[in-house]
Amino acid sequence: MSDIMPSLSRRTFVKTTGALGALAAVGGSVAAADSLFGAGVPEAHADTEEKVTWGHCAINCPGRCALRIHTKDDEVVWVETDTSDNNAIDDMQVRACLRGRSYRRWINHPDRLNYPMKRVGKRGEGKFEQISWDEAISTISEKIQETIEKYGNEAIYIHMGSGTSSTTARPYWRMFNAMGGSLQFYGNYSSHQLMYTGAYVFGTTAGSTINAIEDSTLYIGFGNNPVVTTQGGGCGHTDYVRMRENTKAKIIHIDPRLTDTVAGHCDEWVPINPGTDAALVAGIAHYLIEHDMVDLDFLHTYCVGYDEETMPEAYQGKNMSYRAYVMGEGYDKVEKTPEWASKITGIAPEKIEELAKEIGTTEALFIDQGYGSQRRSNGEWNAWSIMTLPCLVGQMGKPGTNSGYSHGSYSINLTSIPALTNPIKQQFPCFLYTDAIDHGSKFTAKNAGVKQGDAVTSDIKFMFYAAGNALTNQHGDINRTHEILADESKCEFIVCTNTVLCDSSKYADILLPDSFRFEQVSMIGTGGDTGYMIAGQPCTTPKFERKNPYEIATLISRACGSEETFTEGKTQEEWIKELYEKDRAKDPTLPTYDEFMDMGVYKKENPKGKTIAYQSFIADPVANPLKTPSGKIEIFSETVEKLAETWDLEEDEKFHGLPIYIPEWYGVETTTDEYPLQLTGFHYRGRQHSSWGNIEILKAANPQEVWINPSDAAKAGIEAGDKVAVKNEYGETHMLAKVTPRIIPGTVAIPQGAWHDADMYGDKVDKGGCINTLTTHRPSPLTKGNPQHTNICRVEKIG
Amino acid sequence: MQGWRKDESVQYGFFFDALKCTGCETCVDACCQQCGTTRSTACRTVTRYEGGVWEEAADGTCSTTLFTYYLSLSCHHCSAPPCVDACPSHAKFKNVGTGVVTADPSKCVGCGACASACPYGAPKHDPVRRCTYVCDACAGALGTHPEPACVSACPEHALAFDDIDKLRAAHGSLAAVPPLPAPDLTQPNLVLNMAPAMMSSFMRKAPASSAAVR
Repeated sequence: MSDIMPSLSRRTFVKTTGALGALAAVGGSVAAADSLFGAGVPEAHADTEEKVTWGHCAINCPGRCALRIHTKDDEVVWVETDTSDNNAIDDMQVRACLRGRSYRRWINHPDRLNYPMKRVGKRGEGKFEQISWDEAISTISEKIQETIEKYGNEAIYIHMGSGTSSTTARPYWRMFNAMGGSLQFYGNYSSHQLMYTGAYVFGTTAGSTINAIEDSTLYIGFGNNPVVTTQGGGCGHTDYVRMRENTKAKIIHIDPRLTDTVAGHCDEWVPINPGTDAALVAGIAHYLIEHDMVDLDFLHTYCVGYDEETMPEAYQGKNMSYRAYVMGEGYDKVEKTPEWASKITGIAPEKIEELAKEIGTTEALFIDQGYGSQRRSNGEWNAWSIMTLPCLVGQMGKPGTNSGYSHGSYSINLTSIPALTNPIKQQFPCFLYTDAIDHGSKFTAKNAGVKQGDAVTSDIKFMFYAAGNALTNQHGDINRTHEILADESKCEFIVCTNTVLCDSSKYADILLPDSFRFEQVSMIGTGGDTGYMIAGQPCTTPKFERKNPYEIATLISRACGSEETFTEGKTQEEWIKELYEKDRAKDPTLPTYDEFMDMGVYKKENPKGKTIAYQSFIADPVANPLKTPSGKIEIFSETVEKLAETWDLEEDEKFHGLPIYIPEWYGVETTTDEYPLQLTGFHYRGRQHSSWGNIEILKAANPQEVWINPSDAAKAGIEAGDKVAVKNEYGETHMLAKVTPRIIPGTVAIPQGAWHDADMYGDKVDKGGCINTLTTHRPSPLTKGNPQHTNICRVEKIG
Repeated sequence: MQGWRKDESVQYGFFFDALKCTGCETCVDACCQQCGTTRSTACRTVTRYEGGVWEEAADGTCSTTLFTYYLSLSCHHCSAPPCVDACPSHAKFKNVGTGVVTADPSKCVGCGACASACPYGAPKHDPVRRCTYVCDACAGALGTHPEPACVSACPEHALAFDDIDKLRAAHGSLAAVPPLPAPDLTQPNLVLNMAPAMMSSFMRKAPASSAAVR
């Protein structure tokens, strides 16, 4: 931190009447007013001294980039980041992306929330009135107690909000647990299907770090765009670019769009119809089998279910293995030749054969997947297929390889404030939250994937929603979601905290003004190829009546009589210090608390250099079995096959315990005359989900546009820059058309996270280009995840 | 600090590595913050260039020759700067020590003649405020930047600013790719690094649909 001790010129003193107060606070040598204008008064400018503090980004992105926040007169004037004299890419710097550098516009945004407010219009209208903190807290605590008395703690719920993160940023579960608990979700909107499918396949999921690709000879990424999805200097973005500088591997990206990860480098881009990865893998598998390129030793030693030899006993002799499926002996008796796959994927059969040949002959294969392939109605099977691919050729556990799961990272994991014990054990999938409001009490394990119990016992009646926009904007089918949230007989009370009035906050009954992590003491750990952690101090004094989450939770706890259990008599800073000291006790190489606060960013090399997924399992599968029922990689999962037999599933939700290709509900094979285009979402440069979606300079650099291939645009009479309506059975949303050959014909793509802007008590037409106007609320069959990339639509030119 | 000014008798220039750039525009944001400009008046801009064609086979499958790359560009501090000659109020000059082309704000009347003269469109003229923003490689900045703000902002380290002879020795002398004009026009102190495969694909097949965007 720089010296903020001001000295004073006569001009400055005359200009700033508050300066005397400042002087008094500083104390010391300059005291008497009448001596101020005499000789020897030091010359300087009290109102131009710049103060610099460290802070960290806290949005839902693995890169928690370092921020150097410059303030003048207690106002943020600009934000820079981790810079040093060395501009070499091999020296890791946690340089913030354009969004992190734009925080000044968000901190000082005219729409920033400054006071507690209560709703005065209908839910979703966005009409609020300022109230006092006393009124806000007493109303909230009364409603909490009312809910507990009337419905029990099961009726209280915190939905997933990812707008802030640090060791103390999310204290609200602890707050409710101190009062008897709350109903909980499991999973998320990011990688739900991948995570839980991966758990069936591998037990505990793992991916190799990006720098492991330096030892690869072939890299294939499915639906993976790290330079955009994980921007910044400390994680996927820079790790990927650095890796590309250092590797000799051929790099192939399989994606419906030519993403910025491919741009500029002429890596090979294989355009694929979205939602068809499982078909491509089956086509590749067919070629590998036909040409004797599968690694049978690997498959028989480490995997279950490739062929009859390793099928679980109960399923032997039934042609239920992956090989039987691929070779046309399985349940559908269709041979999955490259020609078969080409009709579904849109990739020429020769290209599929070429890919297979490269996969079958390369020395060190790194198969990677982003979260794009799995955020679909058949996401489980795409994710599972991609994880099967390295098994087929025995490319796992050695240098330059990956598991087919998403690439991993090396992180400094700091301990967060403990959540205490929640007496309510049962959990339901995150994406079912609107159903949990509507009919949560009917949820069972078989119809809704309830875990840690057989059923949920109450509908949600009280919702607390902190720092997020997934109530509406980021959730499936906004128009349906609105109907559920607007009905005050269903969820009776909604509390939101936020920094700005986003679409979700409009449904709050009480809306509380939140603080950024760099407006308070904060600490966070993360990593990519290299681990790092960041500590920060408040950049300014608290402004208006904004409070931080720990203060808000403390006030609510006090009103509900659980303050002592919640705070244990500690302030937030005391908690941060205590938690950090515990981490330091485990790893004494970490700097002391004071040293860390001073240095801001601390980096730690991965002691292994590069992490290789499942290295110890591959080295000795008997001594280090996986945490699956068989102890091996489950290409066929008996667990999943049994779920398929016993769960309540619709006809188009039927699945098997095998990574088969299942056509999507709203996919390239199920478009209609009315809605002839597949519609997929993707992450955008100027936002992290919906965060930063209101910042003008980022919107100017990243206009909300639907990507459409010139051939599809010509058919619809659309030219670049036209204003268009994208429509389907769920709604209508408006944005600009980006006519570009960078997207496969037949599919259009909308960057997710744009701010929903519709009159929800009028025509409900969204002027903001929010893709969730068009998405479904129906969860994927197996893991009950969000299929928000699986949509069909038509695009029309408008005025 | 001002690290880049350590040598006061050389021609400085920018190096841009298209193999590292992913088009994120963090450099533009840093430039805006440093100079108080907006995106439309920022001295640094990012241009996307794309081309190639789709070929649809009889069986309905597609293949493509598509390519795309980004160029992050500001003033190239040319050795034959047309903006200096074009300036009616003699505000623009080339620093004899560093070769940086910049403007004396006390003489600049904001007419925009330099912006019209520059084939790269590097000076950004604001007709409302009647001023022209030009890159001075952050020579006047008093902050903590040892390098121009854009260079130290780039998360991918795709930019460098140094003695142009050193940059050319290290990276070659490529100074023009589509859509940039031929370098003999103004002798820009710019070095580019492009993917060889991409360059050859471009040279081999001048795509009918290629276009500079933005």
